[in-house]
Amino acid sequence: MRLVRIVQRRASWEDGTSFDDFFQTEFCDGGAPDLELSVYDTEPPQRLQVYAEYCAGVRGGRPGTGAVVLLDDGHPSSKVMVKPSDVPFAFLSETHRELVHPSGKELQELAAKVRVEKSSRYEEIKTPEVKAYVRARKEARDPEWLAVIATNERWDL
Amino acid sequence: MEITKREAASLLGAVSQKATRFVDHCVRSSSSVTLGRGAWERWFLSAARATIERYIALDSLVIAYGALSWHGDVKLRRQDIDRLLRDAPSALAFLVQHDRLAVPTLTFVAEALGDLRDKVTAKRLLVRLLSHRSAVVREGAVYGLQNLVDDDVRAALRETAEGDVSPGVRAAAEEALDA
Repeated sequence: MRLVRIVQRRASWEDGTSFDDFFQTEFCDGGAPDLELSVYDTEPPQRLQVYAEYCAGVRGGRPGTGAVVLLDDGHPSSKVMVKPSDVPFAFLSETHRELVHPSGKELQELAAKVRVEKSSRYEEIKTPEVKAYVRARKEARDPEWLAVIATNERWDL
Repeated sequence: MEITKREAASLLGAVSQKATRFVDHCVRSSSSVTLGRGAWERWFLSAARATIERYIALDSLVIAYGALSWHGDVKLRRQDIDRLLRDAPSALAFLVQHDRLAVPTLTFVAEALGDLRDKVTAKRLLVRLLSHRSAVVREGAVYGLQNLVDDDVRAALRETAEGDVSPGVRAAAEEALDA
């Protein structure tokens, strides 16, 4: 399985950030480990699509540079739950999974592993790629993108 | 909005007094009713919560809680950040201004402040956060400022884009300037 997690903050993956701040920013919510971690089951060619749809449909900001991190199957104790999400994109919803862990300890071990292996797991997606993708969807008259663009002018590129 | 610890304690005292009066009233009017300890406690907690929510505004409660917390101690879930931004934005601003939020919460609050209705307060708080000790927070501040760009904000972002020690923060600031 090729599970990816959308990176929340690029700076949290840098050496200058403590492990605790990194773990809390990327894998926790309100100080508690997110034991039902939101991830996407997707192959490399679709990662740009997942990222663009996530930014427009979930995060709600502007098109911008971000990153995804490859989690493979997660921790040996992880269970993967198929969990369609309530978003305006069918593909994003269909590929959405919850990576369930028995406790914060296993999640912390997974976080530590992927941080150490950042060079092979971390993939940055640049703004021009995102913008080109959205423009192409707009030109193709993709109804999902047209609906998003109609309600959010930041994505009318 | 400024509030001292004394004022915050006084607010909590008011909550406590109202809750106590309410419980006294309930005890008097339910003297003929026998409740087990567990059931009584559940009922009390639910009644106290309802009383607090009815008489004390959410922003006052949050401000009181924040004022009594240590620096960098308050952690909020993402859904609570959204709720405070909608229902108690002054409380959210208070928590930022007085450095009460933990780094992983503050970075998401900073991004959310970009949608604050009070743009002047949002800009003031976010420009200050560009100098925060944590790069994770500074990156969140850049995302918040993307929606508030004017000459002053542009100057602050340019300084960040040129001089921040974090490559991620510098890149985010450069993008905000290009947007």
